Amino acid sequence: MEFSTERKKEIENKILDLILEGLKKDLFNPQDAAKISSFVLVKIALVFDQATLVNFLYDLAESWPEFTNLYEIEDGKIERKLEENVVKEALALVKEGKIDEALTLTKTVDNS
Amino acid sequence: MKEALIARQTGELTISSNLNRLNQRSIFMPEPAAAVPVFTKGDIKEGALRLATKETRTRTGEENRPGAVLAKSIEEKRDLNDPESALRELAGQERFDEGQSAEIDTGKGRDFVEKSFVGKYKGDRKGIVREDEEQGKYDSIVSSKGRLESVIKEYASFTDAQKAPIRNQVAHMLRQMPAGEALLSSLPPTEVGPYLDSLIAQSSTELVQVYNEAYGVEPIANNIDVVQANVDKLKTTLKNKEKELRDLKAKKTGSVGLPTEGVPRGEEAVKVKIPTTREELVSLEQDLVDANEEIQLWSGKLIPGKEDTGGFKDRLDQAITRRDALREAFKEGRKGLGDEKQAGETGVTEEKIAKLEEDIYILPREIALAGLDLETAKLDRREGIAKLEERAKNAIPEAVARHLNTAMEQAEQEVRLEIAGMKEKATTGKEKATLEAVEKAISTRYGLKEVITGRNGKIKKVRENHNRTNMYGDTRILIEDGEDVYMAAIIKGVDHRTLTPEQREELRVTTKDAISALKPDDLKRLKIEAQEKLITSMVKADGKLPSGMEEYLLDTKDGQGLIDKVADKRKGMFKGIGGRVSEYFRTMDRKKALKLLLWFFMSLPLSAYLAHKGIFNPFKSGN
Repeated sequence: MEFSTERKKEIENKILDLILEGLKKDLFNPQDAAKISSFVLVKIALVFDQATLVNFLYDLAESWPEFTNLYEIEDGKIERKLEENVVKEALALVKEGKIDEALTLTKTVDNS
Repeated sequence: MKEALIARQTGELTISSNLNRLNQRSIFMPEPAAAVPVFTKGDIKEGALRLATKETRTRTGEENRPGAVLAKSIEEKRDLNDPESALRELAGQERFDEGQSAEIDTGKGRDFVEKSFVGKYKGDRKGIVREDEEQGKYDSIVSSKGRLESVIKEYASFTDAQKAPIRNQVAHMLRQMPAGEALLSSLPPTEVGPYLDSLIAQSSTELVQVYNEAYGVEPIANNIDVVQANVDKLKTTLKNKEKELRDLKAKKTGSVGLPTEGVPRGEEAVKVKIPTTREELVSLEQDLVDANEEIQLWSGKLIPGKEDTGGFKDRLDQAITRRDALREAFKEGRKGLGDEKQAGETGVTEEKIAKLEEDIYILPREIALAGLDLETAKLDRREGIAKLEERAKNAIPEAVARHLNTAMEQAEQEVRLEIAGMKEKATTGKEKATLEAVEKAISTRYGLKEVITGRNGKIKKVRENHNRTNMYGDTRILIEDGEDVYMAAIIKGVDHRTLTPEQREELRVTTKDAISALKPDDLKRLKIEAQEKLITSMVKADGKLPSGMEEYLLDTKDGQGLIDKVADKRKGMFKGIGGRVSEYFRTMDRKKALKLLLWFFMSLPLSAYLAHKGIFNPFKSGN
């Protein structure tokens, strides 16, 4: 998955949301926020696709567990997208009575 | 997934609980949640976090904590299209680049900004608020320059915390330039700050120059044409400065014009004529006329044979003396008898000469333009020009190295990811150990040590290379074959300097053996393969080689052949795929190149031989 500028902004905004939330809830102090932001600024520059993004978020979550959620969401995004497509297609096949094809389709996802 | 979607049954298909849940959603929810059909662990955690957040909010309910105040402040000026700015502000990396306000009021470093800078820039910033966006942008740059100049004057007295935002800005500016980015990247983290300090300490002029470059006025030289243009420019400046200095010295010593061979200098030189205005000359001429008239007057009063009772003779003598002095002054071009200036006194001071002599040295600004290091700033202009000319000769290969470094860095990241994946799948201890060794090699960036040998295997020199081609802290064996130097083997994880004399000798012997085992054709193949990989990695998204590269290659042995080969690859690369794929291919190629480097060199006969000898085993954990 190509990592566009817009996508980068989206991730940065999500991280920023979490930092600001953390600051408000006293999960982070300003010093923590500075450290996290510095980390993000340095590391996100190396992100160029979904795989490196997940890697970056993994590192982030390793250091600050508050970002685990974001990591897991992004980590599962590709898989979920595939799942969504298969669900749709499988449903369509089921409706058409093509049960074997629907089963085969789900197996392909499992194997991927 | 399969289990989650469809439960297996006999005879009749039943929809699984998940699909049922989807259907139920469509019944009970006004908007079907089609985008998130299955809850993940992340979703659940997110929900839990929201709950926790809610509780925390209720429990604390405080709005005056520093964190809450900071969050509120950031939120108020937050721009969803520019989250990086907010992150930078949180990180204390406030930038002072165009269009960015310096009016920040939180944090220690930012307090400093408020007190020391805003007063100086506020006027500037008011001036840049204009309807015309382009004009505003231009003025913003100008005012930023002004800000920089103000800042630099006080910089030396700053604390580290105070220096931080300025260092960041300079680093940011440098990073706008390919060469600047490469330069900063090549420095160890601990040396970046001092380097930026030294750059900042140079003077505002140089920084403004850097700033101009950052905004695309003139890029730092990294190709032959630009370096050569700089050399020519420096030569012209040098010629002009030297002429100016010679003129000034000649003026001081009283010699006329430029001292050349055979022309008397110093005391022997012709006295210089002090230029006078036309009015002054007319006035002097009138004095002469008056003096002549006076002479005639007093001489008329002297009647031969009659006693001089009125002292006319003395007056006549005085008039004659005065006339002669005036004639002399007129001849010398002086203003007149009252003119205190004497020939040779030209107003040339030691300071003026010293300043000009100082100018003979290369200005740091020119150094920056030429892409030379700051040490060169201490060089005489002639030495500097010689260095620049040398640089011009090597300019393209350096550009090649920089390009490769970037490519390698990206490839390294990819390989890291790949290794992580491979480690998970590794089943045997040996596989894991090998992968760990590769990981360690990647993460150990001590700088590469190069051992250059002749064809006979004799070690000619060991050199440390500090640029970013050195990623693995390994020892490379380079073979010098005539003018060509190319890599024959790499000994992973070994710092050549740490070897004992015995190990060194062993290395020499084994290197010789290994090299001897290679046939000339093998060497040629190694070299060409390495060049091909390098050049292919440089192919840009548009399918072309970087500017000047093709010309450079044509001047080298085998260059045409390489271009043809790369062109063939390019044809294949773009055939029926389109330009968009080229970027992908390029990435793939880099990855492949690094993998090849990693694995190819590990499997070279030399590595195997060394492992066999027990000197170094790349498959052993810890190496």
